[in-house]
Amino acid sequence: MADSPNTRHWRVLIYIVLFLFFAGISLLSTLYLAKTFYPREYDPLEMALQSMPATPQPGKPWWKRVFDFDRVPTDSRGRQGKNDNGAQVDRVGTGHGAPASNLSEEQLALREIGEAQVILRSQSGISETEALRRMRKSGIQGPFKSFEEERLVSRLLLVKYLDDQSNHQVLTKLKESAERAAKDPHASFEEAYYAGIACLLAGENDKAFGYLNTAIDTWPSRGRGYGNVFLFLMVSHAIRGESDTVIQMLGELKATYPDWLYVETYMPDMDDLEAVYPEATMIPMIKGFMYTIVLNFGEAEKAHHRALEAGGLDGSARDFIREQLDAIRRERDR
Amino acid sequence: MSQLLLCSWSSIMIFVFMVRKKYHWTVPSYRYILLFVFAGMNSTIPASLTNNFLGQHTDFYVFSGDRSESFIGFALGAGFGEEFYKLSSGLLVLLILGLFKARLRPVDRCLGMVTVGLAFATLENLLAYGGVGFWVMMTRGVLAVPLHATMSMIHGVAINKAYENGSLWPLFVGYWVSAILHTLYDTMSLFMPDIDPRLYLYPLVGLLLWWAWYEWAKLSEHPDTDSTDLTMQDAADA
Repeated sequence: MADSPNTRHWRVLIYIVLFLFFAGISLLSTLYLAKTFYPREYDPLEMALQSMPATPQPGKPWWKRVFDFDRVPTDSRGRQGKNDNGAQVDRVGTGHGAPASNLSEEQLALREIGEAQVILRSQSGISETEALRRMRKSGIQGPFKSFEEERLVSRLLLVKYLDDQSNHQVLTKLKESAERAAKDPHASFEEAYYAGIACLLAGENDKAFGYLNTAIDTWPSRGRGYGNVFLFLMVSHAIRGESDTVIQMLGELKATYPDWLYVETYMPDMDDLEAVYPEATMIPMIKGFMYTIVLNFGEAEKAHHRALEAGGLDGSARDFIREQLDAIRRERDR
Repeated sequence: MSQLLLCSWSSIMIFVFMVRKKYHWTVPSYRYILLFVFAGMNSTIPASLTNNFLGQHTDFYVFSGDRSESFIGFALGAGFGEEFYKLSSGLLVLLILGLFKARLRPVDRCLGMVTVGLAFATLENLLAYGGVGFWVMMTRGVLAVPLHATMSMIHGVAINKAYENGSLWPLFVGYWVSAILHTLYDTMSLFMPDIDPRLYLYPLVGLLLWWAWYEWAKLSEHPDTDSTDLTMQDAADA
């Protein structure tokens, strides 16, 4: 006898429950087996990148970030000043390290892939682990491979840190990675520079001083990259309280640092370092000088006064600041 | 607002077209339709979590450089995963309505399941593809959204078969068929990288739409039993 519609109705409801149960269990079991037998292979570099909290994305609610798994390109915020591209050299020279011209074709190819991933990270928002994965998928092998990977990781961490400078965990990992890269036999002037920057940001000026000196000694040629090293080395001297050296370097600033005119690009970096080293009252003095050479007398005076009021300056620094303030007054009176 | 429209134009058109084609004497129960919409939107959450899980914890990541890993990632995530969540969310609505003794006609069940698929596709557009260009969204409206609708139509047909025969197997068949077709849609480009995907995706979606249209047309607005609409006699009198 055929089932009544009512009976059939209830039977179908039971079948729905059975389907949901069995199909659901099968799917979850498959996912579990996939994770057990084909787990994602993370190595220490990927683990270091994975263990950090996600970069907060202002304006994007958490429920929308659930859907971001390297699919959605986003435009990251950027400051010009953060783009300290130490690799820009005006001409190829010989340094104590390994300038780009000395790299093998394979290493150059791997490095280009790495640089592309850094750009994709900062412009298109791919994840750090995806960037590293893509570099590894290139299949290029050689004794330089682990160095290039470490180099990529330190660059990615720098980009991540610049996106969210409140993330101290990232800064710690950045410093560790940059130092490992700088100590590698394949390291060059660039790695020393980035290690110096990372140590400077992390509050370890003594280490930064060593790295930045190595960088400036081995930099192949003058230009924007050299100028950046010069700038941060000057700040390192300022933090150490070496006023005579700082004053001398300020005198050479315009000749050495091509971007001196674009104060809006590097002043945020000075602000960041002033926040890390509040006791280094020569940093406001440097800022005051930089504002003076671009004729922003208002900001220059504020910075110089701040340096004087904070105290801790020696005689040479105070005299220098007074000379600067007098010069500003004379300019204004003209 | 324009972004919302860009993400939903195709879903709205498909829904309106289906209703106008079928519901001449009756109207669908919009309370139930809302439940299906809600279910479809909710199904995007486990789908996204599954895709994230695959990408972070397994080698089967859709953007993996390895073709076979990518294929399995699509199959598990997009194919079997998404289709399960869409089908199960629709089934849950039917289960709840069934427990409250709400009787839906086959045409209502199909419309409900397609609504789940359309809601899923719309939310996917908004959340995962919001911000991409105008023409990308138009293309998704022509390809991806109808694909989700036709997959859900398969679910609807399977559910109707289950109700008609009082059996379980149509649900599994419908699930597998939709999962395999969805996987095929997502992975064909992996195995034919040199061929413009439009050359095979448009015909595939076109074929599926034709089939779905045929099945929709076959359904009667007036089955012989259980609904709140007009009886045959009332319809004749009207």
